[in-house]
Amino acid sequence: MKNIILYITIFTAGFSVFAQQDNLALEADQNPNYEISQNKYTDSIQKSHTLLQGTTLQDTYRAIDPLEEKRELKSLRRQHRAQRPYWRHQRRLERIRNTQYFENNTWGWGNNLNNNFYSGFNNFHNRRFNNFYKRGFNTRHRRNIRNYSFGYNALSLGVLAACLF
Amino acid sequence: MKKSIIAITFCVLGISLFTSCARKITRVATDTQIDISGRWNDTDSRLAAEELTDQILSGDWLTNFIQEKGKKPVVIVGLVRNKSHEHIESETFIKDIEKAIIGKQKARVVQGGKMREELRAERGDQQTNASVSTVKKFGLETGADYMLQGSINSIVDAHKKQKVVYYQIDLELTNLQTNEKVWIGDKKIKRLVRN
Repeated sequence: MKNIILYITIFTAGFSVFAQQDNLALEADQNPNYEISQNKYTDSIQKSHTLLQGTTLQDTYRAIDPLEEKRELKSLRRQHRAQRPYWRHQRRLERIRNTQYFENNTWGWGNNLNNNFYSGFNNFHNRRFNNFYKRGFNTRHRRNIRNYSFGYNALSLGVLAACLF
Repeated sequence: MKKSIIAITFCVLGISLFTSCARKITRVATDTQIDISGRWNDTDSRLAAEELTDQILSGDWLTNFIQEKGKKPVVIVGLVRNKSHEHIESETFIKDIEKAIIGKQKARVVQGGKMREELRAERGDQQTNASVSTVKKFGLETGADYMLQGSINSIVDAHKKQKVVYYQIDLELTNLQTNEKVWIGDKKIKRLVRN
């Protein structure tokens, strides 16, 4: 019993001493819950605020100024105009990369896919000059697989004739 | 004879063409007022710095602090918010104000922001690399008493070819312990632009 009373006395005395020390740490009129805020603002996350010290936060707005808007539009038009040749060049390159073959042979000859000479020759021309056909008279058939135009067949025939004679 | 006249004429024309197209650059005094676009420029920054420096150095907060604490106050520069319609860098006039405060020895200014982080990093580096007698210790920095914060605002009124632009730069000095604003300074600039 004596021991229990002793322990209780020691515990109470110790607790009161600590509590007193805690109270002593507080400044006059200081909020006792200051540690909650202190912990919040001493976290490393809050460093982002201190890192911005001495700098300018650009939080600008767009003023209503018709003359300035007109100038900006003009400048934008100029930029686009300057970019246009480049865009056209890019478009041409893309067209060359994405070549489409199409059927154009209405003459019946030279359409033999088993004939390696003609098909190879024409395929070569189709690959190279496909843009011409895409824009020209052949647009109706552009989705078809192969193109054997009369013009190129005539050309190949001419070349063949030259080789033979 | 004719040929020589033609050659001379071409030479003169060529020289005049080349000289007229050449870019001309001249050095001018930094306090010269040159307004080109009608936007915020160095003259505005300088005027703001001059007026705000006068205001901050003649404020009662300085004498009050010295009377109360018996020492010079320590100031840290905080964030300046540019809420105007233009890109304005406040550092141009804030540095002038800092320079005036330090130069006239009215208050002490401590480093903040990224530069302070750099200093701490250097101090950290010294802990392992510098000789013991020259190592700078952590935890001995001077704490600021006041923080200088500010904002830049503008109002634009434009119609056809005329424009009135109004800038207001506000700086505030706040007690870090009590959050009490001890000084507010401002610079107002109004400008009429005719296009």
